[in-house]
Amino acid sequence: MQNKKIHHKPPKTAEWILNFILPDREWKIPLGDFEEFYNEIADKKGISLARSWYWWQIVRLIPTKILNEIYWSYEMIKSYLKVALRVIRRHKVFSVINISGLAIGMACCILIFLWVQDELSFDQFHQNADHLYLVATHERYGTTISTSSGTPSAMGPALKAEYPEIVDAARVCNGPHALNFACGDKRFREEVEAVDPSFLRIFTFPLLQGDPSTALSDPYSVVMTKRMALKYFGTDDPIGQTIRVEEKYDFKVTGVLDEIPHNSILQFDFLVPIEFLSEHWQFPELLTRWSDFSFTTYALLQRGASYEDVSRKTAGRIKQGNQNFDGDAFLRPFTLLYLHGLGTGRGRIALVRMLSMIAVFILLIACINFMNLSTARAGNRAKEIGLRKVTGASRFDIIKQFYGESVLMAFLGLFLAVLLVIILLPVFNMLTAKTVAFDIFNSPELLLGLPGVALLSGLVAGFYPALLMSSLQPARMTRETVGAGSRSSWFRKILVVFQFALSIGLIIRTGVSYRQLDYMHHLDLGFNRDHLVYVPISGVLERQYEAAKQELLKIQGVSSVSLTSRTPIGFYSGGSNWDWEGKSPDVNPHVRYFCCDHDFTSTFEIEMVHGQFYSRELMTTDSIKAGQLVINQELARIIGRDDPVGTIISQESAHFQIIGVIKDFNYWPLYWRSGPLIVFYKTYHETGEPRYRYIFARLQPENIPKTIANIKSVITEMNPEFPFIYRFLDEDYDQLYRLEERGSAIFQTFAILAVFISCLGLFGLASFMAEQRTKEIGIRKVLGSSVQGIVILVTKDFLKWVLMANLIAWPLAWYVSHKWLQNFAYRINIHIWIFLISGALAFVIAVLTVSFQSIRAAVANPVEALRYE
Amino acid sequence: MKNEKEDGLRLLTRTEELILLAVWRLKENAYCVPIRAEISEITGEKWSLGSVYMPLDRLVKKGFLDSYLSEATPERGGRQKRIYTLTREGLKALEKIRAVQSRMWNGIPELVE
Repeated sequence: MQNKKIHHKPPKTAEWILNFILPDREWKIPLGDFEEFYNEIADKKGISLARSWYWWQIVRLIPTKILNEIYWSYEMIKSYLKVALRVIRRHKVFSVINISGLAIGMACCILIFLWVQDELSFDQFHQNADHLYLVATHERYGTTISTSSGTPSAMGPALKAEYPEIVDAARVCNGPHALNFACGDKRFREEVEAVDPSFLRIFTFPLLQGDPSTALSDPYSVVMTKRMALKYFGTDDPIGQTIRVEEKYDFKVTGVLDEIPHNSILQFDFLVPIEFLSEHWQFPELLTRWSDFSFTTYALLQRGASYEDVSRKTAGRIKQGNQNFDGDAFLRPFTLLYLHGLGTGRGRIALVRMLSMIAVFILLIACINFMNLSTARAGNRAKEIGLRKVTGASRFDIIKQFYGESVLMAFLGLFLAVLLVIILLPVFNMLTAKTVAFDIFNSPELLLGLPGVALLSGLVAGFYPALLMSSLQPARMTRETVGAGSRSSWFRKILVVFQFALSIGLIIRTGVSYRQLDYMHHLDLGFNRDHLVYVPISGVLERQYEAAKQELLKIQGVSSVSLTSRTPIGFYSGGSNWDWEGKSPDVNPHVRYFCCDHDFTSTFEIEMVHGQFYSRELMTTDSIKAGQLVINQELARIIGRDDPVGTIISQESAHFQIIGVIKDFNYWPLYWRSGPLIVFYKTYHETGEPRYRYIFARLQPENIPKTIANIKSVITEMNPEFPFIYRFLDEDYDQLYRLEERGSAIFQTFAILAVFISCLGLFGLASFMAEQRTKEIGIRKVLGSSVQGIVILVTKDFLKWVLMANLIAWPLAWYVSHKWLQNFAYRINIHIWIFLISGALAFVIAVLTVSFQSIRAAVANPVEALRYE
Repeated sequence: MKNEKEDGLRLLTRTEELILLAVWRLKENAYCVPIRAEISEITGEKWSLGSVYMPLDRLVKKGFLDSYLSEATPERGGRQKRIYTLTREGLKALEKIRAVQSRMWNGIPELVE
């Protein structure tokens, strides 16, 4: 070594690895030894051998290194775990608040995740889901564009024949179509879907029996679900059997479907061929017209074809067939329909996003609890950390320890959360009207996601405590006075404010949707919807409705009866190109049509604004032949005359005189404004508006069951072949806003949970503060402070935060609520008192939560407080 | 003292004994690399670095050896050496072994002709 030899450097990477493997500073010395030895080998046996020797040393070290690591980390984890469990056990309130908060938060997350997953699964089960499209239209009426899924019946065959990219198309005739089925002594009125035979080919509804490509080729064939097959035939294999429809036709059962998956937007029990309808209605041109937009058309595209390109090509196709139509046809991906609708902004996606956000918020609130309570209690742990640091723990070790603790808590929380979900799932399903299952072991998402959520919330919750604790200086920490430092208490305040802001925001949003729903329930629709019962017209009644009406009027308890073409939940047919004197060229309203008899206004209690309604005495024929019309106020406004009675309006060559104006009434769900309307007397075939379909009866509020029983006996006597069906109109209205009501109910539940978790945190924080200020309170009391004074002193701080939270929550909640209300044409104004009440509610809850602790601290004997010195 | 004698004999393995002797012989230069070289030379067998580290460590723990860090040298890539020295216990143990061994070997002629 003394004689100067060439010095060989061992390979750099090898040295680096060795340096990494060797545990600590002390062990770096062998690096030198290794280098020397390396040189020795290199001198004696050559550099390559030396090099391989060096590498061999490293390889030999690795197993030892790994075992060592495992051993020591096991030892450390044992220590951390022991300390963590001791902390949990010793500070019971703190642990219960943290773990239960995290558990509730995670349970919310899991439930919402299940719900969202179910929502996202809609319509994904079709084999062709990726290239299934709905044909929809943008139609222009003057300056407004209306988007709808209605297409003319000729569109489907045209698409299939003329565009090579479109492999197949299927039409569905917009219903509802109710038919009377009879098989032996079983008679029921059933809703059916009338579809093209290709329907079963492009959609994947599992056919248990029968051949999907031929099942609906015969006009008198029917495909039914297994449930219905059992109901009518008592077997799930009734292929070839016949069922009597409308007492006229014998239908052959050609297919049995498995139950329609719940996550399908198309729900039906029976499929009949669309050709049947044109024969049943004796309407041969039904399926080849370009004028009647009452068909839904689905298209199956070639794999790889871009639907935007195809949309561009097909845009003008309807106009080509129907000159009066001013608009474009376009393709809309089928799988988007459930969540996004036709792309006009409405759809369930808003609720899905909202709930996902709430799930995150609630978990965040729970994590904030953890952060707050942990940092508040930093002082209690300071000595432990000081000691750890002094005995050689690095900052990273402390971070590891605190992360470990929060993750442990989170996993305990997860365990509880899973139990909670199992218990609460039935309630949740009831709330959301879903049937989601919580099947961890069959869902890879859950199996990975649940520990993922726990880990994530553990890391989020542990983030600040770990950083704060590890940053403390051991010298300062071991002193008694170190506790809630000013920096951490400032951070805590922000978190509490944030937490309460979220809770208040949720309360406000809940309040707004509650008010809006209440408003919709009680909004004056322009007619009286109470005690209105209706019976669909079928069978013999189609010819004898007038007689039926007279019979019903004889029943005691029936005050008025009217025949109508629709129920006022949605008027679908209508037309444009109406003309009148002085009409400006850029006005072309789309006018809805409705047919009824002369008792409509008296039965529905709709007021006349001008002129008079149709009456039996005046009208000897229907309004088309008589050339007379009744319009609504909105159309009168558009026509632009104060009193349009006597004005002539015309469509193409037909001229009509307006004889009356009725007060506007709502004939759409309140999302949309009910626009101009023409009320026809009796019938108006050319518009596509059907004959009378419903008998409406206004009942006297007394003894309704008896009246219904009488109606039933009258109707079944006249129409014995058909089952008696009746509905109350207000029930229909109750169902109309179910989505909003569900959303509102879900919101309410989670808002309450959010507030609850926030309060848990506040409670914990307050109890900690009270404990910290025990001595201060003792001294104040000794010096003569009153109990109220002390309660106010301790409570004041928290309330300041809650007030601040209000300031943050209000504008945000206003914005979110405002956006939601845009969905409704008829909406409430967001009043300031919703904010005030929500704020006050949060305030009161906070006061109650905090004052429990502050009163306890205030009434304690000061001797106790001061003695422990 | 019976106990001490037994300690010296029982707790020192052959390797440890060799290493203690090597440390004694190397004096100021008694760190890992020369110790290994010394033992290899004397026994005529290959000794790895690892097989020297472990007994060295053990001897320090038992109190027979002490160690300090020397200054860095260039042939080690600028790293310090850990130099080992015998403690009083170490010396005593060696003495004891030597005495026992010489007593045992006393009067025994060459075993192999």
